[in-house]
Amino acid sequence: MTKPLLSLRGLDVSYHLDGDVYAALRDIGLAVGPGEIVGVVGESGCGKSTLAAALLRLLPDNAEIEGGEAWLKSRDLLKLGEEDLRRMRGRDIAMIFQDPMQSLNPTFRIGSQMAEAWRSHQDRHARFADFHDQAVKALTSVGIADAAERLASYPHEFSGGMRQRISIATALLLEPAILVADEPTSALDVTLEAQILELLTKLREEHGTAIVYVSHDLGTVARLCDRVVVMYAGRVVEENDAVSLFDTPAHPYTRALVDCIPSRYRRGEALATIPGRVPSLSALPKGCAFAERCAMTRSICREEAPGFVARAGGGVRCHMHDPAKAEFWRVPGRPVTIAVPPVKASIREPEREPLIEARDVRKHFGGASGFIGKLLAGKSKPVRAIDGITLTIRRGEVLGLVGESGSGKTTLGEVMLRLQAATDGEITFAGRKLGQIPEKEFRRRVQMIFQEPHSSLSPRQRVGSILTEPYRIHGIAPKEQRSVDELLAMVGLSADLATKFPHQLSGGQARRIGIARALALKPDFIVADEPTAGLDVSAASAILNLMRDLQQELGLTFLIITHNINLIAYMAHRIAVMYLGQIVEIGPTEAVFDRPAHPYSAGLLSLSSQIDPHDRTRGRLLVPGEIPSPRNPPPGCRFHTRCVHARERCLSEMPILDSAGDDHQVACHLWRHILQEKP
Amino acid sequence: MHEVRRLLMRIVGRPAGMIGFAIIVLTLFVALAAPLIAPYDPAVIAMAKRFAAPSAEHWLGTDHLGRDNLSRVVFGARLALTIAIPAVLSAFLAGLLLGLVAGYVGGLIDRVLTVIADTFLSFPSVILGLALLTLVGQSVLNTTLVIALSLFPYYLRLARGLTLSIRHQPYVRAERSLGAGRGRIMFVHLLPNILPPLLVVVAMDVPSAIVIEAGLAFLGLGVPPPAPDWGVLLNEGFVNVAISIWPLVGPLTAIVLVTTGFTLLGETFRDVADPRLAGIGRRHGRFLMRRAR
Repeated sequence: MTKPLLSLRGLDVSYHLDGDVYAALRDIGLAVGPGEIVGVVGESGCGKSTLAAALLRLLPDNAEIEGGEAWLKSRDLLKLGEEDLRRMRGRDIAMIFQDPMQSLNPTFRIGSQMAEAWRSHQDRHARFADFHDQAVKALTSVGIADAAERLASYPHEFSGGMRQRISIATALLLEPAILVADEPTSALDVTLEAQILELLTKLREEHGTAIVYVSHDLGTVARLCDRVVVMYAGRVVEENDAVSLFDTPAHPYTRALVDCIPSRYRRGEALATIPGRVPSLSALPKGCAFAERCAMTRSICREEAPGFVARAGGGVRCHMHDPAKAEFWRVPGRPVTIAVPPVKASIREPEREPLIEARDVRKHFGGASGFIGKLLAGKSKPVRAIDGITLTIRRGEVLGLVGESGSGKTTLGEVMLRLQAATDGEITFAGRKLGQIPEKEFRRRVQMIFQEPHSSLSPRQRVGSILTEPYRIHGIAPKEQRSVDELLAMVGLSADLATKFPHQLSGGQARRIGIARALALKPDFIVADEPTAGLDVSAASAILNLMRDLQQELGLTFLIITHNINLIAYMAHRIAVMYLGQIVEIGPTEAVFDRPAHPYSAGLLSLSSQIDPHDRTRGRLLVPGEIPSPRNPPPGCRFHTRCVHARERCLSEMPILDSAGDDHQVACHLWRHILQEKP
Repeated sequence: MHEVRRLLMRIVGRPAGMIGFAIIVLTLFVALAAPLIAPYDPAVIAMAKRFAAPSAEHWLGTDHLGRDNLSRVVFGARLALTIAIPAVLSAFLAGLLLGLVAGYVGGLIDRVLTVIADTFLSFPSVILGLALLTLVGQSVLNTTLVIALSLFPYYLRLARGLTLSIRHQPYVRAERSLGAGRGRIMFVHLLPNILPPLLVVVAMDVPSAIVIEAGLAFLGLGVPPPAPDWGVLLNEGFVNVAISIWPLVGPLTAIVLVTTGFTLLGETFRDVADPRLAGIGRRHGRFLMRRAR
């Protein structure tokens, strides 16, 4: 490697909180070459964001940089005075934040906001015309059309994806040599994420900008980064070039992270899990911080903290790779390996009998109602959250529902459970119309697992009381109840959690409690809304294993709503793709993945973040633009505004679901034509 | 009961809570044991000893009719608490229930209730008190009712606002999806979550009620003299302030002290009542809050 642009050595950062010291970062070393993209990955609580903030010295007040040096352009960022530091921020090193909604000030026009960043780096005689030119150039380079006019717009006039582009443009205004991006796509849909990643790659190619990319999503890191640093409990545990790191992970933690990710190729296998949690940074163990959760632990791991063992391309912090300690792992006649053989598990096949059926269901919000409403609202149109959905879910089936935010997935789930009344259409459950089933009975037989693991649990109830709440509501006789211990055991939790409050649980535990509560009444049908959202990969894989086991043992019927395509590919029998309130394609998972017929599903499915650092562009179909407002859906085929294949007919005529094979339906005029075109 | 005792222990465990609690216990004790503590009958007039300065016989001196200032303040605690506490409690209960219903049920009920509350809110409480007391006449009960009426809209507004802010929380939707009815959701799930902030306001409103009551009495419309009401004492003291300041010292100190006591208790209660911050200690709580943000 050529001389690094940014070179970080021995960085130690601690947080001080009323006497306790939290070792947030210890002995971090990092070198970023010119034009290089370095990924920083790890679970939450491992110090990724602290590292990103430390590079710009944007740490909170209670953080203290206790040692180390960070050389950028022959100056040590950690020793600069406030004024020198301010000069370097923005010009030499800039940052992009996670949430584009919050990092732009809503009361400023974006032009003024960008001018602010620019002016602080110019002398007093700087000309506005120069700024204007530079701003237009920066906005154009991130793909904002009519940049000159849009400078006068406010942040709320842009969509989420556009706002993230604007933050990137602001960061690029002074053409910094290095960009620090802290989870820049976590708040965005896969389609927008793919667009932003494309943009970052382009910036590197065109401007030679080096990027430090912090993310918990191994898929995007594998796709984007040249080199990857894996962090655990405030330390770098492994560093390598992206290809070697993902192909042959050396540290057991890296290995486990990679094995946690669900994918269609792991169908019928149990996912790897990492037991336990990241240890508290105020009480780190004497030996290796990962020892308690590691499958390879030997006595030495608990006694001695491992050093960083340099290897080709990087290094690893693990005794196992230290030649001097290797005897601890040597078994006669067998090479040392950290790969865990896959555990076989299968997915139970559904029965033929339909359990729940939706026929031409619609749900419209708002719009004018009543005489006065109509008079006042004038031409206001309703939001068509769901617009004509017909769907059958068989008993014992797992149906995956995917689509971007705003496609109506959650609304459909809630309408099918009668948590929201449908505007139109008919839903049949176990052979009876929804309207004919008494509310109490229906509520006993269907359950929902809500998106938010913590806030879907009543905050002032203890776990035991949360789990028995369904029995109190329905007045179930004690002998027909499952006990709290039994429910906790079903979801793999220990009985002593029963006396805890929800805020005392980790995200994964709270999610399991939500599942246990849903199981208390022995329901037939469960809607799971983003069951792994907000969880670390290790917790997410444990939840998926649990859901698969439950489906297996109890023959539960699931509707899984998610934007995580890997999850669906791993779990679901069938997959339904939604766009703007309609199903555009539905069919068996294998068939839809192998031969996606609708251009939207083809795009969406190709973006699923598989860990594949080898070929970064293969099979990736960017879906351009953003999802239109469901208040005003495009005429004809709703997808035509973003479809590369769109023709005259698509603009005026709405396609209906057409059979594209066994049990496989697609709503597209051109699907035959598109499939034929494919190599 | 066990929970209540633990909560109390945690309140008393903090300096501010301890002080507040001590002041209130002291006030309650003084109010209950007034006849035993007070050195003189608060109503006995001794014209010979008018405006006496503090002395061994009269620790706080005497007023314009020669009555013992200390005894009058001590008996005043009785009146203050028998008016303020029932007034605040009834305002709180009414406001809580109506606010909860308005916030959760919504619709026409919500609109009617908020219009009523806003009508009351649009009058300053003393003016409202003046008007109502003029209509119904002066008495201890009427004063209590009038104070309750002028306070309940605040509780209604607050309870309604808190209910609105949590009624769409995922756990409320989760309860609905389990089949819980309106009553259960309102009283088992929403109520405990909106209660702590309201109780804090209750604790801090007791002194306001005392002040309103004193204000009405000061204006001659509360409890009629010669009752040893703190407001009445202030009124009489101000009239004669040029001659002696001693009649004012007692009621002023009492009002300041009781106000401080209830406020400290209320604030400590607020810090302690939230299970998300409690038990793990203050610093941890703050750490979690920062993490959450």
